[in-house]
Amino acid sequence: MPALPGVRLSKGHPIGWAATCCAVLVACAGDRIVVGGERPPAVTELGGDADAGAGRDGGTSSGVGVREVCPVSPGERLELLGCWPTRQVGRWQGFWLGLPRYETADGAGREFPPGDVVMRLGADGAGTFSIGERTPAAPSACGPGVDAGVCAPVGEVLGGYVYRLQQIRLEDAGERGTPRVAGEVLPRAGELMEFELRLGEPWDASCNNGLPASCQGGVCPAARTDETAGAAREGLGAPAVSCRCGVDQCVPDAPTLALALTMSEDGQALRGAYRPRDVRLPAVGLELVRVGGP
Amino acid sequence: MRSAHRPVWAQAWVTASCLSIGLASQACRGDRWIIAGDWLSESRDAGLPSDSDAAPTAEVCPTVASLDAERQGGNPAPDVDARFAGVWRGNLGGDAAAGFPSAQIELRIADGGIHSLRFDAPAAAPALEPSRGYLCTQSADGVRCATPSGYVGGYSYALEAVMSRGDVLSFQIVNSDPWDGWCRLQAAQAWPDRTQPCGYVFGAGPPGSDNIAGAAGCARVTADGAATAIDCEVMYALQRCRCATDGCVAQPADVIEVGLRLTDGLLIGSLWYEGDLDAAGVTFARP
Repeated sequence: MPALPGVRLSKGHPIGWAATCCAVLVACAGDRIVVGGERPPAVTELGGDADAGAGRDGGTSSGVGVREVCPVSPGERLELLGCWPTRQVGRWQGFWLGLPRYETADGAGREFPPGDVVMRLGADGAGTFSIGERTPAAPSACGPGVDAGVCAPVGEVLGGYVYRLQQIRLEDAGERGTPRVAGEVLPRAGELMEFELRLGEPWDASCNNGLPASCQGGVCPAARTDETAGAAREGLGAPAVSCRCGVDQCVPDAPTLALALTMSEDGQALRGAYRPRDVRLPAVGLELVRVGGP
Repeated sequence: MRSAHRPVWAQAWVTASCLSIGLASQACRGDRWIIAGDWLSESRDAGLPSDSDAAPTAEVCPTVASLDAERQGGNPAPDVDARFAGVWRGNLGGDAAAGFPSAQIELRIADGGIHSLRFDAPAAAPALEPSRGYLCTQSADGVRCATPSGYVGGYSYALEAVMSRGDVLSFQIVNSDPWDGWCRLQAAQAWPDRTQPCGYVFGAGPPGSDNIAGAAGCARVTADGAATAIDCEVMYALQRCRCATDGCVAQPADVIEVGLRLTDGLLIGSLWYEGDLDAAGVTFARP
């Protein structure tokens, strides 16, 4: 790896990066590494810091990164000249292809809310994702004070809700993929961005308003999460929210959506798919075009 | 991942197709296609004359007719809002447009029952010679089939999975379709494979996985390392085929998905290269 005289490359060491890559990859795969029993998840794993890898080693140091081997997490890229900002930083708008359905907790599929998809990745490395507009007729998150007849069950995608991007993973353009023929040069593909959406996020207040100790057996008292549900009747039809609790936080027990997007060479378009964990379900294509800066 | 030593070439290109970044995996749900199965059966079966000599059982093994029916059955009837119906003329923009056959495109949606997309490029298709590569050209840089985008100029692609949702029109293109006529001229061969319901896989040309070694040319290499030279252009063109007991057809798993949004009377979106390697913006208007 090339080194610049007098420049500290503590975060640029390939071994360190490789370790970070592995950690993030494991996190993205949704499987926990358990050594000697169940490990309680940390806040960043449950609550969804947008910077998947930030702070894992207790802080980052300034340095210069080499584009070809930049770390995958926005948090670590922020600390390295040459690794940040990536071209995904900005505001993107687009649509799902075909009839888009996502996987729900009960294993059934449900259609995504209608309307445009808007994604934003900020210069601070955090990002958001929303689908469609929030309309008066759109369901809100269920909770005390929200009529069960007009609210959505935990884990349903809420139209217009601004989800935070979780477990963001950024990979620079390069030769990757699978050649059709052994011996061929690998095709050069654009920048890759992977992230997850935590579908329980709108119900977070039902879990992490209290300490884990207040949840009985992982089931926390539900709380109102949407102030716009005006005609709500206190306590009517509010189901309990099942929470997953770590050492410092509880979050609703709901599925996550994993998405991967590839960028066009001119940096104006992103395309990819949401791939359900159940491989029997079809992937859902997503296309976005750049509509603004950070 | 795809291995250079994968012994059954017919599955190798299916595997490669299914692992591509595009949405081809949707098409790879047929139970006759093993995506990550055990491909060592060819070498194991090679020494088993009872298997090798047995003829494929027609009632289980796929035929060209059954492949055609499977594809037709897997293509849902178009479900398109009337706002999208008719003929559209499109123009590609940006640097990536150079990778397409032409910057001008004709799109037909529910136009007299026709759903098609065609790049306005010279339509003189090469002669169909089964022993020569089709739409694939070898150069010092390697072998390229069609254009960098994967599209063939002048060919009228039949659209599949045509549907609209709100203001978005979606459809799929099987980018191997221009090879269909050539594939149907190929003589299919059966190779023992115990992982398959009928005990065989089918392909054209020598068995083995596809390999290219620069100036040394191309070869099919079996699991035990035996290599048989094959014309590079033929080898690449054969990757666009899927074979059955009685012949071959275009490989239906190679799919490019397209989405366009209706905005102020225009259809606007991006056309992506196969494998999502690049994209060009496109705007369609009524002629």
